[in-house]
Amino acid sequence: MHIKTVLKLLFVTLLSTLSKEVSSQSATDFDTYTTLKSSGSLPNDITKLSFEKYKEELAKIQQKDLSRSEKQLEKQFQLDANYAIDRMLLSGRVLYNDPISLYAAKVAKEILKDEPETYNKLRFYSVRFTNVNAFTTANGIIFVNIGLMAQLENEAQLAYILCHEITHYKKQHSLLGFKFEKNLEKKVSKTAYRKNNQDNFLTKCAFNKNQEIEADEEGLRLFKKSGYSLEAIDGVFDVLEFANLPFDEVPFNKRFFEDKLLKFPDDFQLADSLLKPVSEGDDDDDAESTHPSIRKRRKIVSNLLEGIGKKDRKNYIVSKTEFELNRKIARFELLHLYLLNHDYEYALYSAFILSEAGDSNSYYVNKTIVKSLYALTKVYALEGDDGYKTVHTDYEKIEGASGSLYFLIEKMHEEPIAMNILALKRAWKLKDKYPADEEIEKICDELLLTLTKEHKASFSDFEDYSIDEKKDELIEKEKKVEEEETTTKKSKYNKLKKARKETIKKESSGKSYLYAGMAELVKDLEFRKAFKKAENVALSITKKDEDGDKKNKKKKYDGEEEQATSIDKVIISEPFYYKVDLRKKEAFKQEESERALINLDEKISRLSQLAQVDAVRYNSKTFTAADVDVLNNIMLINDYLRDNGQNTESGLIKVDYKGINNLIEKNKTPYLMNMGILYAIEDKDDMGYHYALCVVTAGLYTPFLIYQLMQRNVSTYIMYETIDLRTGKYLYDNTKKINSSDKDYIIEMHLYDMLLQLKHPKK
Amino acid sequence: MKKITIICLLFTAFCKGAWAQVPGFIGKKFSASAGLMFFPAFNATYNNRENILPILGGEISFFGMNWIKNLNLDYAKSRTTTVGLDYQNMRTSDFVVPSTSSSNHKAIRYVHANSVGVNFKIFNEDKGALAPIGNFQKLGLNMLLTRSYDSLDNILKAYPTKNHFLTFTYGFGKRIILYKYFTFTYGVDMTIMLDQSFVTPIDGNDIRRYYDAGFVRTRSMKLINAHASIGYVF
Repeated sequence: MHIKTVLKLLFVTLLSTLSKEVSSQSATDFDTYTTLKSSGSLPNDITKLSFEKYKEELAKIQQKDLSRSEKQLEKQFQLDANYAIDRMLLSGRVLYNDPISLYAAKVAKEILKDEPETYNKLRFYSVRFTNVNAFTTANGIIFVNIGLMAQLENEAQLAYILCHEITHYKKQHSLLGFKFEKNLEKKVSKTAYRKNNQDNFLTKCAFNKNQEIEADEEGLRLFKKSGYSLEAIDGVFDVLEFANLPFDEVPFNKRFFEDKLLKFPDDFQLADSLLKPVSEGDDDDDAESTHPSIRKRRKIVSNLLEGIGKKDRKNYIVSKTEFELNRKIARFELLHLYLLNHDYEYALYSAFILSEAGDSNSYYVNKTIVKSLYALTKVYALEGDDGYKTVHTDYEKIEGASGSLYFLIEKMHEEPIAMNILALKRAWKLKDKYPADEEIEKICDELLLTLTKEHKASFSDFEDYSIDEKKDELIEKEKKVEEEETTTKKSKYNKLKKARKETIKKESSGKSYLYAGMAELVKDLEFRKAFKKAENVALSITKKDEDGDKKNKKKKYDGEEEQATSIDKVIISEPFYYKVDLRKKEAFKQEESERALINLDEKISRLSQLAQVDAVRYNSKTFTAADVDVLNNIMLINDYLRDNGQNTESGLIKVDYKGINNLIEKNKTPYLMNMGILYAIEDKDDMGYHYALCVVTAGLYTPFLIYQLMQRNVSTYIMYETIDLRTGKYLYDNTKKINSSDKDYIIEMHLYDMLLQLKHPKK
Repeated sequence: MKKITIICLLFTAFCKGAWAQVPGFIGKKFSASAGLMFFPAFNATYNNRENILPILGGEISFFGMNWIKNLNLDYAKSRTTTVGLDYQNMRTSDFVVPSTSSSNHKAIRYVHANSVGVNFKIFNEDKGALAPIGNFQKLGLNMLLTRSYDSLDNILKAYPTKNHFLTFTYGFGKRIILYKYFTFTYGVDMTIMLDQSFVTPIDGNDIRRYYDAGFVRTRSMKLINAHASIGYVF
């Protein structure tokens, strides 16, 4: 064999080994866990345009032997459903070819081993939702929420849920539900004595409940054909009944946050007897619910199972290891999702559960704890009680063991500095362990800044408590010195200094446990330096703020404006284009909107070149199967916007700091533009004025009246905002309302203007 | 010429730069157009000279159209304003110079005029306009140079009466893109012509009569006009 061929083979072998190692590590390494992303080829479901799919469905409807009105209803359903599903598929919430989706597909294949045709029509995608749910579309997509996967106990439970969802698809429940609802509306409008809305609502609920029961019963028939354990079904109803609770019930003790130096007072631990007991979870009265009560469903299914042999059935057929791996992935993923939802307390408790379950050394878990504590600290410090209310749930409302954690947080909130110190301690510890992590370093810096600036803590405060045994002695000594100072020096500045010290002392009384907790860190030279730096930064910010206030006042007086940033390169992610005709019942013109959006992408591409602004375009309407990276970037940006939009006041470090930094580095720009166009046709304004003018001018106004009558009442809105991804700040934000139609040249003219303003902003 | 320069300077000073960067139409800030201004001429319109003769003693009028040829060059100075140069060329139809107590000579004359000047267009951003495209209002200041000729007498034709007038124009219209960078502009112009008799030397009664009749005819022709032009942005 030729030497080059041998070398090539060796190289390929080495590469494949390496890649296998990398992929297996990324799937199983929970220490440095990376959040789920889509991979491989993108499915047709998202590469095909909505109106193309809609037209395919229309062709199918035409072939059906249905009445004209039935066909019309189905067309309407396909129109609504297609676009709604596509919005979901492209929302950045749905994952493709990720381990959970692939695993769900494997389990479904096992269930449908005797019905390969049905299996081939179905697609399984996991969804980054925290709630315990799975849902199905009429065109055969089954979505499995991450929150559901995290709660399941075994593969058989997943199998039963999939059976239930497959039945929804086979029976076309969503289409039937739509038809039922529309027919009900029609009937109501024709009835002379209209029923009230409540009656209609209850009728719809009853119909939906029947569908759910049918899905349970038919799903059970399908399930029975598989080899999965029938006993698992009862567990499914447990999962659903307690879906509001975290994925495990582990008693929380304040010791989790304590170490040899930092000890919380005893009254910070909620007694077990005071924990709110877990309620029954479900109510028998399901009249106003679209789903039957869990109790009813459990009963119906258990009746159907009576007398059936349960032997030789298994909890796992595909793989127990794979189930456990995927459930763990889902649980790890949940931490990230809770942080994105700003549900920091839930994230903390979930991280605590994982810690207790053997992942206490996981960098990812510890980082989640630090991020949660950091976020709570910042929100409390910068947004006060209003911020606290948005991120905290009263412990008395929390059922089960996690109530203790909420109680501890509430106690810490009584001492505003407590959360800051705890967060800083945990963050610094993590920083010591992983010094290369820029994000943790940034968190430490921000926590130190909050400590010095917002809580007015100085290094000496902590030094005083650094030798715990001499604490009282030191306090006494300081008191004496102060008394002497009072008697000897009575200058204005001495008095002021003394007053400040007294305030700090007053504030720190009762906080000795916190100050002492920092003793170890205070001895750390690196920490000392960082603290001093933070003190200086806090001072300079305060000074700048004061100067800024003065300058702002002057600027206002002089009419000056701030220097704007010139942007040469920008990421434009998922622009939108909506065309609506508000005169019609179905106002949204879906096909026209989608076509306009594709044209918009081409326009942005061309005009950005003319305006000499480098535009990186992420547009899901132009996806090909190979665009998985673009999809992942859209997901990252959507997460960022959700994260940023919820909490702009406190300017938190973004949850996916690393991902965003990679995006900035990859695209060589920190600027993101959100933009879109809305074109609306509305009813004409009152023409009375024009008719009156016609009369008054004895008909001379007639040509103008005719012109007015010919005119449509149209408006085009062009909206855009530019965000600095590093800071989350909005640089430019504008909505132009144009009283004109969205002619190509008008849109192009304004897009060019928008891009030009990025490069040459208003001075 | 001095006057025109002053007018240009005045108009340039009027246009303040609202934005550091002017987008124009996708970067194209110049617009050149050629077109026609037109309006029905309600009296004294005799396009066929042969028809003039029978009515020398009568007051018969025929319907006709006034046509003014127009060239325009605009430059987008800001997002909403353009400054432009206008050239107009017009010829009135023949008109009767009525006899007076001092002269009973009824002359048939026409006026040929060239107009140069500047205009200032304000584009309506609310209606989606960005200079030089979209809905606009126009203010113009022009110098109208007229020559009044005798329509019938070839000897007299060699000696036209020259005059110049200052005109102010207010107008409104819309410029749209027809295809790529080709434009179509339409609208209405209203022009007031200032009587320059106080500065024009009057040599004899006939000249005065010709002047007055020419002024009236030209003024009525300029007073209100629709306009339409085809152009190009660059």
